Parts: sequence; structure tokens; C-alpha cells
Amino acid sequence: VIRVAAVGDVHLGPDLRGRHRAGLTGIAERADVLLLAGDLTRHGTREEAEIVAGEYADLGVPVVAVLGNHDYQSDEEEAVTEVLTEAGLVVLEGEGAILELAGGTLGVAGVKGFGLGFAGRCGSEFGEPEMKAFVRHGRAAAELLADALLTVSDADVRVALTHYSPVDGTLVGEPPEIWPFLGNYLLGEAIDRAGVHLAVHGHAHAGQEKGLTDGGTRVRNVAQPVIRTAYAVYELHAGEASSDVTHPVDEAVSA
Amino acid sequence: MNAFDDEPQDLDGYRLKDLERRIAEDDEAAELGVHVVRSGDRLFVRGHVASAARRERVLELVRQECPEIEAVDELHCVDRELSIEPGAAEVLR
Repeated sequence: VIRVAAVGDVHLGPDLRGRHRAGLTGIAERADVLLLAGDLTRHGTREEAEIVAGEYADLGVPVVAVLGNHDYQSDEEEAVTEVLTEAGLVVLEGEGAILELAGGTLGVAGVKGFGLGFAGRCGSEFGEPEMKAFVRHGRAAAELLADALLTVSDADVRVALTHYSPVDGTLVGEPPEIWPFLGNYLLGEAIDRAGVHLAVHGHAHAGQEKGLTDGGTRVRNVAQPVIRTAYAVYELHAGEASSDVTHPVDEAVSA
Repeated sequence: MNAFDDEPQDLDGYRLKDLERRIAEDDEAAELGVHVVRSGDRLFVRGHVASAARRERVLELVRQECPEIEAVDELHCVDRELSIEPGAAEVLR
């Protein structure tokens, strides 16, 4: 059994210094690892990253993070990553991390992700260069996730960690008009093709915690305004993960 | 009825959309999930904010932009929830 704690969208800045740390007391008794699903800062500055580093350093459990759109706001995402890494956090962007935990090996594949929308209601790579760039970035994010998932395929338990949502089910509560800016069905397709035990994301503050991919993988929106606690904990059991053997995309292609 | 009959309401709507965008883009607020709705002669300010300071900044922006209308604070500040212990683990098999 591996106990995964997760939270996203804490948006730390000087006005919240130490506030999350207070809620993380005793986390090592409840969980084996903490996943951070992006939007760790308000503006993505080095100064804010130092506050984040202070909040999550030396917790007694490994901390694995992806960045979110807020963490890119000041074009200092590399500095943010550097500060967090120096504090001992693992920051993933199109990469995987394998952790040796008491309950087995945990593979975390992480990427920020991007928008695009969901099948039948998404952007297409057509028309103006700006529209093509938006769609290409969404597609590239899903390709990064697929590559990252390959690197953790041997782990006992596999988790996909993103900021943007891979499914629309966890967005219910958000205005449907903005769903293309909140998630991307290609992320969900990458998850189903790889077969993971859990997909964790943030970004959708007004969404729902629980969702599923088309292939049956459990998805959890851990945006802090959704879970309304310091973090949520999921107990995962090694064994066969949901996979893509009957994914509807394959059926559509072969029809 | 002609195309201009509802012009004042439309202009209010555009003004409120611009205000929501300003709240998202403002350095001190940076809150992307705040909505401002006019009902009767008041403005209702809704959504999640990360801290008390950001709540004050959002309300300051609303009052600057619409000084002639009373703003009602219906924001939900999540900062105290950052220190709330989690419930029992969800078992996923």
C-alpha cells in the first residue's frame, strides 16, 4: 500500500508564509509522499519560490511537484524550479520520478499540461498562427506526459501528476465556456494508453474532486479550494492499473 | 424596440467583464476565479481568493471601477483551510 498525499493551487506569497506548513504537521504519519499539483506561487517569482521552498522542505516525506500557470507568470519558471530543487523537492516537467517507499515503488510522471478542451469541444490546429500555437502547445504537453509515463512503467504504483485537467468530469462547477482553458483530453488519452493507478491535477478551483478517464482511471482534482483541507490522501494498491485496451479513440479509428 | 433599448445594461456587462479581467491581471490580486454580478442596485463579488490581503485588493478594485454601486463581499477566502488536517484516506483499488 502506498499512501499519496496531494494538493494543488496553494498560491503562496508573502501573505501566506507558514500557513500551509501548519497544516502539514504529522504528514509523515498519514502519507508516504506529497504531490503538489502546480500553482504553488501567486506570480512565479524567485522570492515566492523561496517561500514555497520553506513551506515544503524537510517534511519527512518526499515532495514531488509540477508547476502551474501562475508559476509561469513572471517568466521565471526555471528559477522557481531551481529554488524548489535546491530545497529538496522533485520538480517534474515531462519527466518521471521513481520513489522507493515502504509499500513498494511509486512512479510519478509529471507535466504542467495545458488547455485545448475536450473531444468534440476543443480547439483545432487551423487558421491563425496564434490558434495553431495554442493547440500545438496543448498537444505537446500531452506528448510530454506520454514520454514521462513511459519512464515509470516498471513502478509498482504509477501516478500521473498534472496541473491542467485530463478529463472534463472534474471541471463540473466551472463555467463550461472556460473548460478549454482548464484541461485537455489528450492528457487523458496519454494516461489511459499508459495505464496508471491515479491521475492527480489542480487548476479547477470550482470543479469537483472526483472524476474518471474514458478508460476507467480514477482522477482527483486536488485544487485546494476543492478539497478544502491542507491535502487529501489516497491509498493506492499495487496491481493492474486501468489501461487502454478498449479505448474509444481506438475504436473510432478502426471503424 | 430597437437595438439600443438595452444599451445601458450591455455597457454594464462589458464593464463588469473588464473588471473581472483586471482582477485576474492585477499583480496584487492575481485571482482568476472572481466573478462580479450586478443584481438590482448592488454588485455581488463572488469566488475563491487565497488570502485576506487578496480579498481586500479585489474589493478595492471593484470599488475603484464602480464607485457609484454598493459592492457586496461574497468572496470565500481559503487561507484558513490550508491548515485544516485531512480526513481519512480514500482507498482506491
